Amino acid sequence: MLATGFFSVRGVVQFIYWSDPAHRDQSLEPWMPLGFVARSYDVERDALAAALELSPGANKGVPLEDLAETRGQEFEAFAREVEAVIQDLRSR
Amino acid sequence: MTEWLLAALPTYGLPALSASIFLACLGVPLPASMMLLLSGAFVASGDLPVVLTVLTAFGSAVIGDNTGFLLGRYASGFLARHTEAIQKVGAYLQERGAWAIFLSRWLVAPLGPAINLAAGASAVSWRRFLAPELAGEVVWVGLYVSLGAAFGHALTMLSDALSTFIGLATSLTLMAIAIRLLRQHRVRQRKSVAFGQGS
Repeated sequence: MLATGFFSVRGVVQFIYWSDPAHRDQSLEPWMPLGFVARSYDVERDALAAALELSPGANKGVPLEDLAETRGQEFEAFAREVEAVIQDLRSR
Repeated sequence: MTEWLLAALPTYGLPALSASIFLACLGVPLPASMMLLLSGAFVASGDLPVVLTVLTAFGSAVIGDNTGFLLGRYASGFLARHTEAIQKVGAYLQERGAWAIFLSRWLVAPLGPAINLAAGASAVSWRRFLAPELAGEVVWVGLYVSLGAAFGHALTMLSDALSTFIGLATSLTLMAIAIRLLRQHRVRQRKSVAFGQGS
């Protein structure tokens, strides 16, 4: 019964938390592949790849961390770049 | 831990999914459902092949469940001697366990590993176990991959909502079982009292 109470309260708390749209954008994580990022932020995968000067389709399943490494960048710097490109693509 | 596992999925691909599902079926506390949701999202974003992902998830779950069942069977002597609960659960499963086995694959998933062991340890035949087990895993894989594919853009939200729902369903089930056992216990007590007065 305690557990049921716990999960009910948790449900309500989560509902309130996720009702705020600001909480819904997932921040970029090192493990996310580019296609997943494109879907999460609702931008074209190929457009995102092109804007980052990556060949479309060649990076399937490759996490951001590894993409950053092949570009000789730190993950944080690369993530900021990706975010900027997403903003740019969204505003078009 | 969860972050590390999620990172393993794009890096190691389907073997990582397979291993975590297999171990989760045996009761190792891994976020297999979350991994499956993420796989669904990767299928939608073109980072994983759909057919192979579904087959891998389904195959690993079935192998995991049946390994649990076999472990229960081999350890049945030991388990029967040490836990009365296993025997009770086993008797119930034999009687009308199909639904319990089916639902513990996806709706009350946290009970799955225990049900596998109990079914193996009790008199439940492998055939009786297999049909609801396969059906249940079809629902689990189908549900989580499609939800992951449809709502991959809000994965944490989806995973939070699902785990709360599963937790609620599981705790309600356990509560119902506890109430029922308590009632049976009381009825038995009353009977024995009545019998005592009668004699």
